[in-house]
Amino acid sequence: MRKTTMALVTTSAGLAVIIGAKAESAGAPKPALTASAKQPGASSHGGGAPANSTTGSSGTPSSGSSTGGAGGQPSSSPKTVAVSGSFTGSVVDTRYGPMQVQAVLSAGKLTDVTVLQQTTGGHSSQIDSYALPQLKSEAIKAQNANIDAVSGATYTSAGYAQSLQAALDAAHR
Amino acid sequence: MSTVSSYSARPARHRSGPTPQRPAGLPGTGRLWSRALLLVIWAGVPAVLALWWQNTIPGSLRGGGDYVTAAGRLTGLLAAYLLLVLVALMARVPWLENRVGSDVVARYHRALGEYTVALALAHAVLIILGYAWQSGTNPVAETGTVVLHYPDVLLSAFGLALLVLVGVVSARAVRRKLPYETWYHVHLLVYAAIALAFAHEFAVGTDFSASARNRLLWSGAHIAVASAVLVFRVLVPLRRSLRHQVRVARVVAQGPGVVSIYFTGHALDELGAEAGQFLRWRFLARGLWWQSHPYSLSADPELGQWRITVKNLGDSSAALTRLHPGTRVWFEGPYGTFTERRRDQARKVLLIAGGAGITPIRALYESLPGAGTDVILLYRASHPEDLVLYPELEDIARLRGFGLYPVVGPRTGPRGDPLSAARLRHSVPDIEQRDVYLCGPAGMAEAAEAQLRRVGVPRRRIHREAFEF
Repeated sequence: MRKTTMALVTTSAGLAVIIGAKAESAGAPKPALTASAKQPGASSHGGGAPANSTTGSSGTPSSGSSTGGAGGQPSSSPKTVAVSGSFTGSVVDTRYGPMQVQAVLSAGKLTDVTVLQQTTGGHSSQIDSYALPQLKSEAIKAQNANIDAVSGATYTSAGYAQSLQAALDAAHR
Repeated sequence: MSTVSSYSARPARHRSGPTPQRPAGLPGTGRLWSRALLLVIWAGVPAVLALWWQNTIPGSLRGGGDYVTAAGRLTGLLAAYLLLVLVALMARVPWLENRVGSDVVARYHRALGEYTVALALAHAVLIILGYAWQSGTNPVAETGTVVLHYPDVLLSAFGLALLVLVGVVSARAVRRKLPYETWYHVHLLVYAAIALAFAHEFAVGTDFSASARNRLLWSGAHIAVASAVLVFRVLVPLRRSLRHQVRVARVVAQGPGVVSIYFTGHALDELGAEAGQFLRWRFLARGLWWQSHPYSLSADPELGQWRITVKNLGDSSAALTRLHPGTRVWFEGPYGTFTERRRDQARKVLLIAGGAGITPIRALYESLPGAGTDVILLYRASHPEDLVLYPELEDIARLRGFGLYPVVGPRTGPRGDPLSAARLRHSVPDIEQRDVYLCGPAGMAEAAEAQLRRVGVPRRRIHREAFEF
């Protein structure tokens, strides 16, 4: 019994170290829209959002450099005529299923984001239930797709932002 | 199978022994094998952690809820891995039974078992707390959501309940009060627990839902362990039992409440049973067929006959004293490393037995080579009437000239522990030069091992068979 307790204490310490190391390896909180996802005209495969970053922590395309988000700005800069209407974003495959949103613009202003397809299954559905409203209000506030990922909903956030970006690109084309 | 593999592996044992110039019977190899086993078990842990590391994208750990969820995932992965290890340890793989030693494997299983149940519980609690924290719900409501609405989690909750039940019946305090059969059969529920848990690992386990490779590896590991269980716990014993047609030959009273059961069978020598080994016996008689019990051979099997000696302890052993000749017997084994091969053949031997531990010691006493003081047996008992098989031992002692010392009296008597370091030295002056075989109840064996160490016997020359399964 004492040995087991010792082992559990050691395990807790070990897990804390590993989780801490993992969290540390990520750097500062980053926007949901990652560098690779900002390429306009995202295909249905979503161009390598975190959904595909299975190769570990070391060299994911999203680390650090994406915080500036320079590539994301031009699409929302309203040089063009103020558009109105609904614009459908691309379907983005996340590891929990496809994400797709529709941007509703009124005279160039983003007024609403509706979800056409969302991730499914177990925890994903539950995550979506609190993450999607949060993402929507963030997007409307920012008036673009440069939104922060919701805690615990990384994949949903990424898919959401990427699809929204595609929708906005379509609107301003 | 064990015959062939154990003999053919002898050269390997030789090479890996600490002192290559020794002719045979390499002391300490059992320990070497157990270290190898520990290494294999440990090697899986970083692999499991890597699974998580790889599937956790950087930046997804951003708040308390994320950390708690991550801890929940990690404990879940570790628990699932260790459950597999626990089953593999008990799969009666010949390498484990006859190299590492059944008792060592059982000890690891015991130590890991408690820990694994704790990890599985921690997994459930941490995941629920983590999810609740992330989504801002209260943990009670979250428990309902997770258990009832997540795919396959309800099944795994039943699995966890079974696992906890197994853990409870195995806890020392409870285990002592339960008949062996109850403990044994409750333990079989672990298979159900693993099966129930397996589905949710794929359905909601982030580390498997996304990667086909991980799914393949994970199910591959499960299939491998399941095959080992099927082959070594079911098919091999079944084949052997059918081929060797073992039956009870006769049941002979050996003293008050003690009987020896003799067996006949077809080509038993093929199985290569050795003195000091044990088998698991299943007697196909009314009320007995559904349980199997381990008993050591109490006579040297190489003399041509198998025999066990059973003391009536009032439980199922009582029924064994009333077996009829001709009763069919199914068996698993022979198993165990408590044999002559463990020792350094250049050295003299000291045997120490207590209680039921006399059975394998009696077989060794009969089979060990040499004469005179080459072999000395210390037979420990609280009362003279507990010296089971003593007349037989006297016969062997007379025939071979071996030393035979009954050590009778309570451990806490006026003269102190009869197996104290000083008294061991007095009885066996060259004790630290000998290989020591020790078998008896856990408390006695532990105390005796400590005294042996004090008197200067190196640990690698103390060969101990634990009698708790």
